[in-house]
Amino acid sequence: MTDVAFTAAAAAPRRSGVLRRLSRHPAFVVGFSIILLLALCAVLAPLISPIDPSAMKVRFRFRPPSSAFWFGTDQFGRDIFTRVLYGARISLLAGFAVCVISGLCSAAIGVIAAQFRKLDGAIMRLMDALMSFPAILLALGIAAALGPRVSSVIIALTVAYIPAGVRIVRAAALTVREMDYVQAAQISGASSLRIVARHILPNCFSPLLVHLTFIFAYAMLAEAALSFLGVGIQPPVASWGNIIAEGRDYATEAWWVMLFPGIAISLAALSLNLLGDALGDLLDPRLKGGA
Amino acid sequence: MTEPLLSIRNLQVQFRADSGWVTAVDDVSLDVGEGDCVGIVGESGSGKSVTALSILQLHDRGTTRMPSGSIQYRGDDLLRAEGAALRRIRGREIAMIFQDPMSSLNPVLTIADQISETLRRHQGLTGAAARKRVVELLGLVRIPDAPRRADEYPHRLSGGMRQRAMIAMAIACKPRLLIADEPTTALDVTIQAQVLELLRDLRQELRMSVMLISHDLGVIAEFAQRVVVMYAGRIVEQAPVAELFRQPVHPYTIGLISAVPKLDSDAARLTLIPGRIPGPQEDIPGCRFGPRCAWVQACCRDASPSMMSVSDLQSARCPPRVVALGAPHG
Amino acid sequence: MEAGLIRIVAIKFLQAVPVILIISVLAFLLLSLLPGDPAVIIAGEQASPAAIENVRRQLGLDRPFVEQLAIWLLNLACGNFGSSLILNQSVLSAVGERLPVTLSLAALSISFTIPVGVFLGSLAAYCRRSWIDTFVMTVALLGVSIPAFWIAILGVILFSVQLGWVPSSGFVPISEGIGPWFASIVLPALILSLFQIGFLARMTRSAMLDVLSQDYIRTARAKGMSEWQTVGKHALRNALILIITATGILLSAAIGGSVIIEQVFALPGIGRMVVQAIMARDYPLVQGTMLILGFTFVMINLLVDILYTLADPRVRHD
Repeated sequence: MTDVAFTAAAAAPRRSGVLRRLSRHPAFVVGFSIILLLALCAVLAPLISPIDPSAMKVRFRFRPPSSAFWFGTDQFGRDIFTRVLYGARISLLAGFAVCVISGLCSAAIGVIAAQFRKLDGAIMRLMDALMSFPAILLALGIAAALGPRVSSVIIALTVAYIPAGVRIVRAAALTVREMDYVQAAQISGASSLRIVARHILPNCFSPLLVHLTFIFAYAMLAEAALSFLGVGIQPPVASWGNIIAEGRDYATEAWWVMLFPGIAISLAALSLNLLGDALGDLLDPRLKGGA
Repeated sequence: MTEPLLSIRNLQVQFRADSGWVTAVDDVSLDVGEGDCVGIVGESGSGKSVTALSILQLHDRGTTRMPSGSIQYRGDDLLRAEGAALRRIRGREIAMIFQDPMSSLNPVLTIADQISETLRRHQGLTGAAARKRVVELLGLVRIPDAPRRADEYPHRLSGGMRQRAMIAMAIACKPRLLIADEPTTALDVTIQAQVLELLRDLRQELRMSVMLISHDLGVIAEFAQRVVVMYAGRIVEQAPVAELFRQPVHPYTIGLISAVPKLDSDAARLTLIPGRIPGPQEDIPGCRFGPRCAWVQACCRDASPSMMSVSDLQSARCPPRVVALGAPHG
Repeated sequence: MEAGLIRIVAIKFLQAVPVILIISVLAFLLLSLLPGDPAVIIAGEQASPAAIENVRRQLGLDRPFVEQLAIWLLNLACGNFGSSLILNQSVLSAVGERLPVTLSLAALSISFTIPVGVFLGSLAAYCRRSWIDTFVMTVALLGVSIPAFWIAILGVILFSVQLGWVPSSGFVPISEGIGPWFASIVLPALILSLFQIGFLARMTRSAMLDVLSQDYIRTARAKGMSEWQTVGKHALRNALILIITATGILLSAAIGGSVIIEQVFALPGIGRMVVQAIMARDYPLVQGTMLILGFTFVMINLLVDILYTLADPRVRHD
């Protein structure tokens, strides 16, 4: 280490636990709080608003936001606040499911590609081919083919996002493979499975985790877009995307129908992006001195 | 006595840490005269590189400050220099080469590009004239096949050649002072000798002063005329090279010299200095070497010692030892 | 051009061939992935058995699978991407008609995105931890978090309905005047750039932070280079690799994004055509268009790879 780096590093704070550092990182705190809040709203939706989101009260159509209807009502007299709450369930669930499933698949495929050189070529060409289609178009095609429901959207987006994750896992796995301690483990006779499980996977975890946080955000935005286009979740089931779609025609008269779900989506995506940034900063082995 | 070319007085450098500002280097005063060759020696964390980087204000602005002290160069305080004035000094009057030539050279630009940049900025040379000078400079630093090498990228050259290229870049505008921060540390031993010899020859040909920084006593002994020993952010001893080895005053210097294993000694074990170098944020009362010193006395913990002259040319930051040597000056 | 460079370009070309092959097969399989009988789906559930049989024969679905695949690939080799069931024209001509729209949109937004995104990202990295950094990054964060279709609708309401500055829908080709063309495309292009600029600024900042902490930046300053030269030449050239990667991703995202933007602004582009084709079950059109888009991106990736080797000399001498 050069003289200056040594002195500067010595002056830097000692490494406190990861959790402690996370809690001091403003982006992490803000991002995590918001998404937690939204998740709680989604889970506790029936408790927070006991109204049925699909209940049509035509007498109350197009009411602006008031103490009775916090976010106003739409053309059928449905309470927008409740619909947004229940919409959170769909949108967050879809995003989370895509995130988890594509993450698991990416990890598996990525590690296999890195471990077995003979399969690597074929796998990566397939991934390249999949990545040649814009993700939203791929998802659009698959979702339309499978029918307009939540599961279609989840499957479609998962397939669309797997290739990007595979690239990241594979890159991380390849780097780890060359590390001295992995080679030492190989020499000492550890089985391939053990090496993968104990050494390679844990090291792919950090970059993949950061990537998946952003995937959660993209998936949520994509689900909203797909529902908006009509190939995703159909009304009367509320999704933030289709509430906006329905509200579009009355945008000038009943601006509140479109406004609140849009804000909700933006908030959710914002918090996830902040979270991803914070995780990226902190899990980066090079001490770059923070955001 | 003529004015020294460069005069550092009471330099203090601080880094920003979570707990506030930490002093990395304190009370550093040294002179470099015309045509001088000064060697700064010390281990990692001694503050030698920090001191050197301060001369051209190469520290990271956000996290470093130099609250006190001055660096006088031809009548101007370099620490107060800014903008165009500072840029005129960098590369033109004072140049610097660094430890790792691979990371210190821009990997996406050719050697010729990087050298002719300096020529264009400071001497207005462009086109064929610049090219001619670049090849000339590469020849001066003894890079074989210079015209071809000039168009190469740094990663295509060997470590020794990269360092020579850096030297060529540094001397391009015939600076008055060359600061060499551990120029040989990253090189193989045989290449080290070649590079040092090159620096020595260039020093004479170009009538340049050199400030050489190294942790390797052998390199310093071979190259420097005067030696400055640093420990834990402070200068602990300054002397002409012969005097330093003949009669080291400061206990750290003594420890440093005896730590070098000698081929012809009978000793079964290596001599070492017990303990470890303190970090800049560690608060040690009195002399910072005290905890590790074999000669430590009660007065060493009471007050922070200042440099005391042993003779006209030698001084050390150790009152007990200086007094013990019967030095008349205080 | 050095021999190494040519060799690498050739290798990239060869690597692209199997990818193109796989894309073609994937596009072909699109139809077979549909649950149920594709002929029934296309003809409609209510169609008579005779009509269904007709569709089947028309699309060649009654032939053995491998034969279908072979015919498909052969057609592709001859430049026949299939025919639209509804539009009564070949896929190629349908795409060709709508290309100017999507191209205008993508080109305008990218030409705006790249300079603004790179500049903002570099600025944020250079002024790290200052209010400029926070401000720029907040704007970038908003750009990547706000759903494009939503802000597009809001934009239409504000700039078209309320202010009347630009038309709320429809595309005016350049042949009818640059002014009207620009007016019809500027709002959609700007909305499209929002996400892109946010993304590019963030990537650029990340890359520049890394680069600006490198030793060679210190060397550049030690030589007396001005800050503009140090950042603009020394730093940016090194961040170029990451910036090129990001731009490649953005081109793909631009086409994806234009699908939604074209819907909102009723622009008769390729994206809108695909959505309508999917809704109308015009599967040959969907297949053919996806294929054309796939090929386009393979070419774009190839270009990006070649740009890499130009940007980073270390890659050339493997």
